[in-house]
Amino acid sequence: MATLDRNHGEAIASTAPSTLPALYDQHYRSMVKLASMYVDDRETAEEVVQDAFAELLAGTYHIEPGREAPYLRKMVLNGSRSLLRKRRVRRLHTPDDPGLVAAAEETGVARSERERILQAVRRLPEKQAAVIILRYYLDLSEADIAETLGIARGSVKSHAHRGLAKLEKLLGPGDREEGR
Amino acid sequence: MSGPRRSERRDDQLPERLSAAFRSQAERFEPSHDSYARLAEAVNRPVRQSPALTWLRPAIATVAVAVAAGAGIGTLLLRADDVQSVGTGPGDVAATAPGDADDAAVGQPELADGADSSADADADADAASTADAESTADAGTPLGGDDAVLGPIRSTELEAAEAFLDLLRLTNGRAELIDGRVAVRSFGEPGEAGTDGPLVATLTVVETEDGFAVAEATSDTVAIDEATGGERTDGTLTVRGTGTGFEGGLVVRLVSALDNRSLAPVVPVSAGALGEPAPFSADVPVVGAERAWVVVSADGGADGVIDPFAATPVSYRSEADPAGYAVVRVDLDDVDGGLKVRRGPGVANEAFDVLPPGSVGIRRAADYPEPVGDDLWWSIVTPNGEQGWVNSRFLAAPEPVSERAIAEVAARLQQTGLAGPGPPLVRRAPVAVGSIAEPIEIPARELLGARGWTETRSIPLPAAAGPTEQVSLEDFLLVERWSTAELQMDGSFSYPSDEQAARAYFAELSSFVLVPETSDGTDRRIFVFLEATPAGPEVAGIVAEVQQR
Repeated sequence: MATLDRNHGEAIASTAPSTLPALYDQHYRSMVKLASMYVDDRETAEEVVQDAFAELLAGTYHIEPGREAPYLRKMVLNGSRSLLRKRRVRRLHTPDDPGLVAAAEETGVARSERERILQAVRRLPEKQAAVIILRYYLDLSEADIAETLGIARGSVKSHAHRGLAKLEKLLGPGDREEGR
Repeated sequence: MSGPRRSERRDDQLPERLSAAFRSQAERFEPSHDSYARLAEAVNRPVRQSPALTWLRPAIATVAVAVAAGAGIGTLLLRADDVQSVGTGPGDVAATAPGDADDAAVGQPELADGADSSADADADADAASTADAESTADAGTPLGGDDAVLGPIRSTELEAAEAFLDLLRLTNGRAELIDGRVAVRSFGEPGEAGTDGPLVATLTVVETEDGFAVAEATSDTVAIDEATGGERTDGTLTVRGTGTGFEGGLVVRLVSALDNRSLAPVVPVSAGALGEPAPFSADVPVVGAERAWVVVSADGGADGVIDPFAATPVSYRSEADPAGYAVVRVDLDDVDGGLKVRRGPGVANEAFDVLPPGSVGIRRAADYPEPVGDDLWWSIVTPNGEQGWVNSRFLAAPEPVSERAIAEVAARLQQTGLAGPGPPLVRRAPVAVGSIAEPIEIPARELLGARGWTETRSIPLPAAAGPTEQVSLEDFLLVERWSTAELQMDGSFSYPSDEQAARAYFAELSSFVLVPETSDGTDRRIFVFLEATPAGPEVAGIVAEVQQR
């Protein structure tokens, strides 16, 4: 029986056949969004996801039907991170990159907060960043995170703890002023 | 005016902030309309190939020949630890002489009006240095009054190059320092880590008293021979040069040296086919007074690979007649292609048109903007004559406010009874930063009679202020009254202090009008109408309204 991620409608367990149309319908959109945690333009995000799909369908690894999501997530996270590292993209101040939906109408405050946080997360060590993203974006359980990243549950906890601590340090106290 | 103004963030707020930021980011990304076809293609393709490579290959060949011939910078050495991310752009730039760099502590656009030049210059310098400290986007290094325009000043050549490329939004390449110049290479083919793409430009870096800055960018396939600047123009900036581009096409961009705003629509020009340089000429429409970079590249596309580019600095002051409002602060590569024009105020309304970055000739169709959420929306008439609504954040008056217009406003305010015996509500104000450095006093009574304008941001008046008391602009804009969050607009990343944030913020917002929200004295809030003009810090708003009558 299929279960859905709480916020993102991504099927994480189902009897979905491993055909391209089915995989596309089930995972493509959510994976593009996942890639966006690391890359700031849609073109690149989609390239990462396409590579992940291509690898999945190449059959290099045996993935049980219905269990593609963890594999895709891992590939997307790795691919995005790898790209980020390779390019050393510095986009602290590029609010509207190509292919993005919000475009010009997003308020500067929201944009600033989002960029600060994303940049801070991207500075985290790889595993810490992945755990933080899987936990606070996809809302995955520790078990699912452990499966996705191929690490022990205990490691998930420690990565999360250290990641949050470092984010606290990077982000500092919140900027919101009360009464507004 | 001191005291705690921030709440302490509790630890348990972090997860919520993370989730919110992640969701916000995810909401911006939707698959492209042809994503399935592209996915199918990728899956069926044994080896991935960047779509850019098909047209880049000739460029690679061209550059390879140039390098082999010893042209340009000579030996190219690549060190992995020097690899920097840079972006695309073509260019040959009119070099700024190193000697000109002495005054280049901070980059600022030249102000259109000389009346407040000294105050503005100081203010601009403050703002620029602040922005420089933390923001790569605020890279423009304003000069102290001469015509020299340099890239952002940084402590090393590579950092200066990187900031310069950030300014031009050229983000996907590598930079390497060689004998005081920086070679910029595009990335290699995706998936082939460690491979190097072609040389796309060479940056000349000069040393100033405050650090290093890029003075020009040249390439082997595109050259800018002339970019009319440093003088008054009739509203057109003429760019001439020679070059080759994919299928014979080049694009000309005009980017603010201060903050990477696009200052004009992208102008496509015909040039030679690859390998066969041919002359090109472009007329770029400009408004206001700016210091900017003219960037010519083979392609303005955002395909992840840097194109050969040339860039040259210009400063200009347009003498063109005001042609309505302009679209500003919209990125050249905005996903929508510009500023959306909607059927009604707010993003919930259907968008039926798009005004490209730098568009001019936009007329306001209403006296007052409509507040929607945190933004103001203006009813406008597009250059095509269509009526619609746009977010005021991205509109700017095309020229500074004239003394006559200010006088008209003062007279009108007198007629309507809104103006008191004191100075007029609207006056020429070197706001950018001068709003803080040189507070303009505005009688509170003048601020409490009118209604209408609105606001993006509002600030409670001091509790002690009565209707007739003077409320200085300094009070009004007092840094401590603004939350840092509010001041972190438009990608400003972080600032060491609120004051710096405020200065940087107002440096970007070049004009403002102060107006009260209601006539009822119980509401102790003043509202600020802010808008940017390409010409620099000037009052607009009500003035513009009067000009239209």
